[in-house]
Amino acid sequence: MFVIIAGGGKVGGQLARDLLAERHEVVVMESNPGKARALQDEIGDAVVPHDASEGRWLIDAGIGRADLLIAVTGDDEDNIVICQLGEALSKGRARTITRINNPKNSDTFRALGIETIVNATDLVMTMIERDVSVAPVVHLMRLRSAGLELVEMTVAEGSAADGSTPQDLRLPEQGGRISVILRDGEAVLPSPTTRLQAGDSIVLVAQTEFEEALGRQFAAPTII
Amino acid sequence: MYAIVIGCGRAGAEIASRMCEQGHSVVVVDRDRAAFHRLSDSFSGTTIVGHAIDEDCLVSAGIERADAVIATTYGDNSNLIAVQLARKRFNVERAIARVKDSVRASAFAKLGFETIPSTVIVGDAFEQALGWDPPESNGPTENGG
Repeated sequence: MFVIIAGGGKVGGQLARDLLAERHEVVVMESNPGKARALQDEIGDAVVPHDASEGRWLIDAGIGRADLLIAVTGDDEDNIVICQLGEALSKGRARTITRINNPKNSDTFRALGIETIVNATDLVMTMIERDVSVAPVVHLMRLRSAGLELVEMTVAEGSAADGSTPQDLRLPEQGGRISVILRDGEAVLPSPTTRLQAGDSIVLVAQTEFEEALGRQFAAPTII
Repeated sequence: MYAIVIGCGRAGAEIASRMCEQGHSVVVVDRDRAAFHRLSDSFSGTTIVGHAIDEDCLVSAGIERADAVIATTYGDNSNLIAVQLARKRFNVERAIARVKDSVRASAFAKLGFETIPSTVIVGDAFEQALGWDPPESNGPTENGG
């Protein structure tokens, strides 16, 4: 697979390493000269030190034959336009996926008909990528059609989840699986007996039909 | 016509002032209050401090009843998002984005959005000034409507 990654920050860099390790062809586009150089030192020629939303550089990077374009710059507007431009310049060949940094923008962008959105903090995204290597990219895109949602929930004080373990909550039986717990800025990989606390953020893969019921055990869910 | 001009740089201030002179109602939006000093004395509209793609800001600027949105910020991408919001979310009849990158301008024009490819237009103007053959295609790109 030939993948272009727009944005060579923490997420883009990690994604590039994972994809290269899986022997995919990768080009990273990063307009910040310092970041681009650091990445070049590490992964070599696969770095284009330019802005991916600048059409000629996206063409130069090979968008015409790309299978996948991943936009993970720190700017939501840039990410969206990069994806749209990539789709247009590849004549629909390249699938695109992007990250929304500011959750406030999700509704806006959904209203524009942009469907492949991952709305997550750097930490969550990095965890997801590290966790399952290359697969998550595809999975994240196909989640909806597979009847699954990736949701983030915060454990509310006094909720059923507060002080319980995933086992207590019988989550798998109820169509949900916790993939990561974010506690005090740290990511914790949960075991069936990890005790949840009020204030924890939970990234949960849920069957769409059970999402609402699952949400009642934590708090109002936010779709990622 | 009721128009919202997003971005009060030189181009935004110019078009906003011209529209007022033509008797249109104009609201200018810019992130930076200081930008409004660029508006000429003939500007008779109102100004709002806010961000191009903030829906709350656009609503308070009256986008729901606007006839036109003119996006002239320095950021091509902000302009392109603003016109998409205007067209798709708020059904504004005319929404035009200034886009400096010629490739981006033509790609989004093909997607049905009105773009002003400013770099191409300036290049054409220089060519004409030099007395060279006018290029075959230039100026505002196709209308999506």
